[in-house]
Amino acid sequence: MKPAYKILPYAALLLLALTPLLTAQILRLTLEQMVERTDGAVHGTITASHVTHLPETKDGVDMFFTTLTIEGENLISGQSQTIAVSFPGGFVDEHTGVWNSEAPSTDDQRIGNRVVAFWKVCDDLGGGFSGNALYTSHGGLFRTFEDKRGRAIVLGRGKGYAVELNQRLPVLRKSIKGLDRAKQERKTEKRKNNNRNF
Amino acid sequence: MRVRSIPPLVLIGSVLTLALVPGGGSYTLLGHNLDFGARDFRVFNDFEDVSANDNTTPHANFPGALGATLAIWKAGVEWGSTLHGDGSGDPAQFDGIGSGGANFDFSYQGLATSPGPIWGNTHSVLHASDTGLLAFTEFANGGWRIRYYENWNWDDGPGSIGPNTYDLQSAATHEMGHALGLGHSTQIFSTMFSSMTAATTSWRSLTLDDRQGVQAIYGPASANKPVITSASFDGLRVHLIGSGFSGTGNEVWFTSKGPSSWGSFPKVTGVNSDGTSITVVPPPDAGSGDVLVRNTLSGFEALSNAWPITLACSAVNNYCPTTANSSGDGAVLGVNGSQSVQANDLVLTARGVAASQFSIFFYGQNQTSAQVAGGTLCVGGPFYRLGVSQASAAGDVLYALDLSTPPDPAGQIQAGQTWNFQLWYRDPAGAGSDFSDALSIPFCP
Repeated sequence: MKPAYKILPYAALLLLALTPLLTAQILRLTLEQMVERTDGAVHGTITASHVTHLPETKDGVDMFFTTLTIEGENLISGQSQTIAVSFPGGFVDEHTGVWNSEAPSTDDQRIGNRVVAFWKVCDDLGGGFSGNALYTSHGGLFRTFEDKRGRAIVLGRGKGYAVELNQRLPVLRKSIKGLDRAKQERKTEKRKNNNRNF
Repeated sequence: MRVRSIPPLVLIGSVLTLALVPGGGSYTLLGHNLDFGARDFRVFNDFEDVSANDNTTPHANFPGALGATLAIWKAGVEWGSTLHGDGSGDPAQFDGIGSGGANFDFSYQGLATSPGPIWGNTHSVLHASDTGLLAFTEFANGGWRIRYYENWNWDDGPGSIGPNTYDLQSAATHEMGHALGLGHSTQIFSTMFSSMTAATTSWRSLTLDDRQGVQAIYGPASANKPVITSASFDGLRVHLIGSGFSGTGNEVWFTSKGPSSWGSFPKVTGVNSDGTSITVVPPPDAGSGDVLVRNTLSGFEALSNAWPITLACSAVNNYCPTTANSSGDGAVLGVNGSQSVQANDLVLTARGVAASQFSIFFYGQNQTSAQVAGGTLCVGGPFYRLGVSQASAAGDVLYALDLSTPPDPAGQIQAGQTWNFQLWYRDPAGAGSDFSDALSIPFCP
C-alpha cells in the first residue's frame, strides 16, 4: 500500500476534478464530438485576461465577455501558439459586470494556470461579439498539472465532459491528433464526393 | 504546478467543498438565494423555431399561455413547493408538475417586451453562432436573466419532442435552478447536471437530488407556509381557500395582465383572512396566471405555493328555446364586444327576427320559463326595458348596450354580476308578438 502522503495529492486532484464548482447548461460532448465541432485545441498558460463590456448589443441589452490569452502549444500541429479565447460573462471592475452560469470558475480562469482549451472561430458569440469561442465555455477548459516526474496531467471533469478522466497530456494530444486526422479525412472525402457530383 | 506542491489549504478546501453539501447529496450551491423581490419571472417570447411555439393547446393549469411561454412557465412551476393546481399539464411528467417541496415558489408574470436588464428576471433568446452553449443564467444586482441560444432547434413539447431538437422546458428548469441558487449536480440524471443531449425531456422533472438542493437553500416546506388549495373568480372578486393565511396584512400576488415591468407585479396588500380563506378584488393590471399569498411571517416560508387562476369572465350562455316565427326558425341572441364594465362596449345581437319589425331588449337577474304570446318568456322579474329597435329586412337586430345609462337605477349592471337578456319583437304575420331565446351574461371589471 502506498503511504498516505503519496496518495493525498492524487486524491486532491480527483476531488478538484469531480467537484462541480461551475454551473452551466452545455452540449454533452465526447472528445470526438468536441474535436469534430471545434477548430483547435491548445495547451498552455493563461497569460492575460480581459473583459469587454458591450453596453448595447443588437438585442438592445448589455453583455460582458471575458477573453483569456493562452500561450503554449497547438495540440494538433504541435507548433507554438498564442490564442485569445472568449466566453460570456465577467467583470470589468468590482462593481461592473455579470456572473454567468456558463463561465469557467474564477479558479480555473486565473492568470498563470496551465490549461487545455478547445476553441472555435465564431463570428457572433452573442450580441455581435466575434472571436474564438471557448467552446462550451467551462466545458472547453481543462486544468493541467505536473506530476512529480514533471509530466503534464490533464484533469478530467467527470461524466458529460469531453475529458472525463485524468490523463497524461501526451495521451490526450495523441487522441486529439487522431480524431482531427479522421475529421480532415472525412472532410476531404466529402469534398471529393461533392466534386464528383459536379 | 507539480502535484507535490499542492498546498494543504487546497486539499482542505476541496474536502470542504464536498462536505458543505448537507446530507451528502450531489447538488451544489451557488451561495445565493432569491428574496421575495426576485421570485417573479417573465418571458420575452422571441423564439424563431416553429417547434418552439407549436404547442397551441391551452391547459387549465396554465391559463393564457401557449408555446414557449407555457413551457417556461411549467419549468418554473416544477420548482414549486407543491403540485401546481392538480399537477397536470405535461404528459412527460408522471409525478405531476410542482415537485420542489421547499419554502420556495416562483411567481409567473406573463410576457415581457424585451430581454430586459440583467436583473429583470426574464427569459429570452440570444441570437448567436454555435459556441457549444445551450443556455445560461446571468446574475447582477440581486436579479437574474436567462438566455437561450437561438442557433439550436428548441421544442416546446408538451410530451416528447422531435429527434433533432432540444427540450426548452428541460433547459428552462435547469436554468431556473441556477436562478434560485443551485450549481451543478454530479448526478447525470439530475436536472441540475451540467449538460444535456437532444431529443430528451427527462430533465423536466426534478430528481431527489434536485429537491434536496432547493430544500437545502430554502428549507423543506414548513407547516407554517401558507398553502392555496383552490382559487376562483366570480367576475369581480378572487376567492382563495387554503391554510396558513395571516389574520391581517397578507399580500396577494397576481400575474400581470399585459407585458410586465421589471421588478414590479400586481399585488394587493393589507388583506385580511380568517386563516383559511381570502376574498380580494384583483388590481386592474392583474390577468390570468398564478396567484400567491404572502403572509406576515419573516422567513422563506411566508410565501405560498402558486395556484392557477383565470381572471376572465365566464362565457356568455344561451338558454331557453326560441320559437319559430313568420320569418323562420326563430330569433337567436348573441353578443359582440366584451363583457368588461370598464370597456362598456357590449353589443347585443339578434338574428332570425321577424323581418323589419320593431323589438325591445329587456334584462333582469332572474330566469323563468313562461309561455307568453307566441313564445317563451325566459327572464324573470324585475326586468328592465332597453330602447326600441327595428329589425333589418334580413331579420337582424343590433343594440349597443350603454352601461352608464341604465333605464332604471335598480338595473345598473356591475362587475361580478350576471344578467339575463331577451328580445321581445312584433310578428303581425305570426302570433302577433314573439320572444327570442335568452342570454346569460356575466360582467367583469
